[in-house]
Amino acid sequence: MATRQLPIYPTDRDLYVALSHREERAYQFLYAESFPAFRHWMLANSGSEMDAEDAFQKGLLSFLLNIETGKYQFQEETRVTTVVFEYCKRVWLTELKSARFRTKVAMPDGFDTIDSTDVATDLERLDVVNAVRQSLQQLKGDCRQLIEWFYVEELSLRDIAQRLGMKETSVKSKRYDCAEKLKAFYQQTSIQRDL
Amino acid sequence: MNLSEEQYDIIEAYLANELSASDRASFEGDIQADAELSAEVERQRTLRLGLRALGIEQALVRAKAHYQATSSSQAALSSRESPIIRPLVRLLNTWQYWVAAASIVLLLGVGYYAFQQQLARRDAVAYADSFGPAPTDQVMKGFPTAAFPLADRPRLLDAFKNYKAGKYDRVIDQLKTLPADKQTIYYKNYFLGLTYLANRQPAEALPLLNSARIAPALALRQKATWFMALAYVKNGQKNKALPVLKQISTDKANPFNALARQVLQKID
Repeated sequence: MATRQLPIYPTDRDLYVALSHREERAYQFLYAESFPAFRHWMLANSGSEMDAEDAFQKGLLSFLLNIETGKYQFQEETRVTTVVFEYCKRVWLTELKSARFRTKVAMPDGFDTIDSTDVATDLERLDVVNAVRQSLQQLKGDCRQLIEWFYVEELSLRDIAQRLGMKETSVKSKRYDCAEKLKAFYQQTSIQRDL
Repeated sequence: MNLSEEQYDIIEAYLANELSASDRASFEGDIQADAELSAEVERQRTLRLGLRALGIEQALVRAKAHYQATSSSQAALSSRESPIIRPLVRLLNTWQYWVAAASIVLLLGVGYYAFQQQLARRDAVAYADSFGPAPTDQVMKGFPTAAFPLADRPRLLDAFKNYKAGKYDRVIDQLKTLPADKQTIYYKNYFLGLTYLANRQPAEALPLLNSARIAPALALRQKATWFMALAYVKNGQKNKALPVLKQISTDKANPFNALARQVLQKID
């Protein structure tokens, strides 16, 4: 329940707020709270240890991205860990349903009743993430570092300027140049991957 | 759409929710009126979300490492706290009992030693069959050399050559001081771990291969897990090798599935 006492976060709402603020401790807490139960479920549903880690990673990432975009909003009567479990479970059931697995394992009972449209959309978004990753790797060292610092690690322009020994205005211009290069790589990658 | 720096800054501020209410309303009017601008804003939004996802992925890798470290330390603590099982000793009163007991111990000891020697040989054979002296392809395949700084790439390429030539001590020296960031550290640890393994130092290889098992790339995790299992075999830790090999052997999608089954047949 939403009012359940958690060791670090007094309520599920506090945990949700911490996750939406991207607190590292909240990620660690959620991982430790959710993974053991999901792993246990996976091993009982045609999955291996590594499958469990992969499906958990994808499900948890989709959940956190949906918090970022506002697609997932906190629900008073629903525990965050229950929602995460459901996300990860649906990732695995969708993969089981895919052609790769269909002929190899039996589907767990009740899967056909699950609407997998949202899962498919979330998984497609992970394809976009991989395209962005590939595009970022195509950037040269200094550009990649700057984009990573600003957009991935979320450092301020001032902090980056201090690290590079540059003026903040120069870093801002360089960010523009690098972001345009990244966009060009991304457009090429998107076409190649038919995104 | 090619953006000017000014246009880029406005989109940046808009997506970061940093525009004033009036500027925001005005810009949204521009978006509605200009399909090309609208598409560009969406593209920029997608790129930022993708980059944000990479940040979350990194945070989840750290969360996983934290979870594994916590689980390991808790397991170690509980094993230390587990009650000591004391054998029930029956007192013997006559010297005949002592002689009989000593004979049994001697026989069991000799038999156990012979059995252990046989097992050790069998494990070594399994290891030698599955891990040849120069698995250079396994190191280089998919290795993101371009992800390392330009200045360090010649050293990395030289390390590959030395590895292929069997100069493992030299490779270890080169890799130990090779700088790595959050992305490349897993590959560096994997390469260094394999080199220790090839250099018959499995104890040194184990922590490095284990750390590569939390890499974001599935292919690297699978390779690191497989070679970690072999390192356990080589290090005489069959009890630790077996569950890993069994896990690989039951995962049909794992490229080392068949090899793991072969090794299991030999040592289990």
